[in-house]
Amino acid sequence: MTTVFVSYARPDRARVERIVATLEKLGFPVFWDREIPPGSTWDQVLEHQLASVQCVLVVWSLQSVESDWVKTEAAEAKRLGKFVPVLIDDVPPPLEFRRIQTANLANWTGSEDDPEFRSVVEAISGLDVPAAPAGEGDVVEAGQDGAVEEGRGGAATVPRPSARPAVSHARGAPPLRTPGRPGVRTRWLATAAVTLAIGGIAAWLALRSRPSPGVRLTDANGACPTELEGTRLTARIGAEAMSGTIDEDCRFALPSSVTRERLEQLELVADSGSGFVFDTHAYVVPPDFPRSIFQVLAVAAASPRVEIAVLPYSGLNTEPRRAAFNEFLGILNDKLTNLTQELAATPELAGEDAARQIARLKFDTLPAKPDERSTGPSRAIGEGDLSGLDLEQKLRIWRQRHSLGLLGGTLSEEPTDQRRFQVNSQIFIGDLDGTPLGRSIPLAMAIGPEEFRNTRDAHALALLYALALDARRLGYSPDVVTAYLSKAYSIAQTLRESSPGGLPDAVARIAAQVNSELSQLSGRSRRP
Amino acid sequence: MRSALKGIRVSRSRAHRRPASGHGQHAHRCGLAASFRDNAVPALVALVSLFAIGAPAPGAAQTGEPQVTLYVPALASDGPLGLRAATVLNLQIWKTLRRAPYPNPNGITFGTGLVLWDPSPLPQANHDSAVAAANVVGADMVLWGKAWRYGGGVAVQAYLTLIDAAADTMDRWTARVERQGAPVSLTVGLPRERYEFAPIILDSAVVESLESPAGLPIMAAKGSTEILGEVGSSFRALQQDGDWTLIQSGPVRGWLHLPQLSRKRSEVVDFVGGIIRLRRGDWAGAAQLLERVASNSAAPYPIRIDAHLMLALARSRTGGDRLGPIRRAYELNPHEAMTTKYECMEYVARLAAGPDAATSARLRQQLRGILDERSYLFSPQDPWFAKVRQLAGTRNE
Repeated sequence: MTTVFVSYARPDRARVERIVATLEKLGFPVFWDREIPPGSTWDQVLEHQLASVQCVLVVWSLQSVESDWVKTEAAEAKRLGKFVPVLIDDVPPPLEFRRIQTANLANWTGSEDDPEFRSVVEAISGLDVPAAPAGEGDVVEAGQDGAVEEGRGGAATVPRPSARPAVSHARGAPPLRTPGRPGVRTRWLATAAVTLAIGGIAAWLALRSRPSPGVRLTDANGACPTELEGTRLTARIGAEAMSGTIDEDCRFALPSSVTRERLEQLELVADSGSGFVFDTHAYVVPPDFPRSIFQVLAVAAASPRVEIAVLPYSGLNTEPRRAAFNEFLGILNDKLTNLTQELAATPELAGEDAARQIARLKFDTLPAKPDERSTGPSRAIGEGDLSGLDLEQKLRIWRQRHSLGLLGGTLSEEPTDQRRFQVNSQIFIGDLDGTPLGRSIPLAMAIGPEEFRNTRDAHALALLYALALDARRLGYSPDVVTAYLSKAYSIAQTLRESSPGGLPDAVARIAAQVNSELSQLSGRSRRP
Repeated sequence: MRSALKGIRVSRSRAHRRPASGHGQHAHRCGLAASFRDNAVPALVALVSLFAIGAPAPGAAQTGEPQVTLYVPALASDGPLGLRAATVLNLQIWKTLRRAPYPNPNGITFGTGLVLWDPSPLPQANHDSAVAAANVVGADMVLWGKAWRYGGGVAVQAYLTLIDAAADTMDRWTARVERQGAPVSLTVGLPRERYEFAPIILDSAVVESLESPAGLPIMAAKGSTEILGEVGSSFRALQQDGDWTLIQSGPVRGWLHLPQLSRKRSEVVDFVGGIIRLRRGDWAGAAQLLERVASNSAAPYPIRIDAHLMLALARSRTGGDRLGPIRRAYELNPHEAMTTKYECMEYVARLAAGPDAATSARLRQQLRGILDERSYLFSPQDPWFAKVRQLAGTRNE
């Protein structure tokens, strides 16, 4: 029976467990708990496991498409010809895997008879037996370097590492819904497999006896921040440096030359833009270091999200529209500058944490696409702007830029008065908000002198709300979170009084959420 | 700082509250700023451009009275609109700097209020730039802003930046309480240092007027249509009478009618005037203006909240209900740490009055209740909070 290794993102564990249980019920041995034997590093273990299984089931989700670790495993599986992908969220897989048919289990109810699930089982079964020798297969052969070529019935990855026996069937991702064709196990292949297994065991035993140091990066509470996964890091000890990524359990292997004596020279530097800083003075060194790997604790302080990334608004294809947009952006910029300076002078935000967050707040205007500068006919509203991006794209930009929020939208004339303009903004705050407010805050506001304050302050309200959520994510004290929310509360109340017809729905929702957060904070305060 | 300010000599340091000049001395002697001193003769009030005169700021005086200086640079704008709109605001605020009564049998003194006028805007329209400019000219407050062309109209966005508010002494509320045999003093100052006012949406007629070549015309007499000249960047204000101000601009002397910038009543003049009065020690006058701000529903909440709190602060000097305005501030936003500080201050002030044991116990209990309920507003390390906790004592005391 095919041995299956499941590659997934830790936040998806509960959903993946159902797939694993069903596969195990069908008799497939499944490896999915990432236990690292003492004395070995994760990449060594992974390499061993990937080498020893017949199939790597890669579970794509909102979380895992962002995980460098899952992508690394997927790439390796693809290279080895053991790649079977499934989707559990409606997200496109990372670009390099999109051409490979992927079963969609987003709506899977757990039934073994589900056609999508059956296609997965068939694909896994198809990897059970290595295929016929070179020349017998029905797909186009790739070169010795494992290049990707177009095969019949879809794209297939054809791995041909020179050190491995040639595989002519079902290399990479077998086309799903196509049962694997049983192959012939040749003697030399069997010999190679046995040799490989023995070698793997020997390597594993060797690793057990050779301790390798590592660090586990945690937040101040000793927990592993999920956002750390995939963060690129460089460990330096004197002139020696080693780069790599942090795994989903917040572990990072150190150069083997690290000793207790040299540990004090260790410096961990996250790649710029990763959003994390590491307090290298916060190590807790276990007595048996370096024999115990991954037992050194370091505090990873998540850095604040401070950027409002302004994406090109659509509709800016006439001079009056561009002029109106520049006025709009001008007052937002001005608001951010002075709001920042007001916050900086707020006693409750004078502490080191909040000051660091506030001092770096900024607008970054992302360059407009060439077609945005054209003077051609107006494009459809929504095309090319923030609302034209799918969730995955927005999340990717938000995460990669470590933004507090993405601001985008459209600008157009008011339907009832073509001399006046209205702006439909969207403020995307990614994963910050776990509330009903959701990830995107839509703000439809008019551009006119009478709406000067409401348009500007509605955007400021959303920004302050996001700042409060980020302060909470960073573990700042309740008074800091409250100071942001209180400022937001005052803005919301002022908006309410200056909106005789009532607050726009989206603004009212933010205001309600601000109230709710403040109620929770004050409620906690009252508890004995 | 821009070079234009380099020639100005500042005769005092902001770090020390300036004593005002003695009675009978008048601010116009400096040739720098508009001022009202108590007992001053009305006609001897001056308002001139910093650049036109370039003379030193008013000298330190001898009586120990407070002197408060407001710096009003032109509003940033394209064209003359910002300069002229700032001129109007400037003169309207100047009109709030009231004199002590005359005759003055009770010897009421208000210290000195100055308005420094600058026909150039701040190098950058933001609070930090205002602080830097205030440090150069020796101002205690800066009213600055920007005139925005927006959506086919013009909006004036004004801001107020207070300098070293915490170092001030006239605008503080202090109470001393005996605690376990030792005196403990507690103080609150002005609630915050940076304010954003509600934007003033200029009427189109006002925009047209402020942008016209005639600018702000000087008339031959109040109510007259005979134009003698225009208020430029260099002028002196001599006398006020309702909406009219007697102006000396170069060789021209005449009356300027101050236009209302918008149909809605702006809180800018009342609020800035109120703070100047507060810092001059004109408590009753401050309360009068601040009450107007507190009840102005068009004003932003932070301004209204702080108007209530400063009203309580003024009443800490004059007497009168303090808890009322503090509670109204709390109703506007229950999550402001400063409002809670003021409320605590009220109970501490009552304790400081030396009530009987039962009242004292009740006040401490109320104080503990507030602190328990609103601890989320304060950092556990907040020294002010810790001190109030100490004063509130424990339930078993």
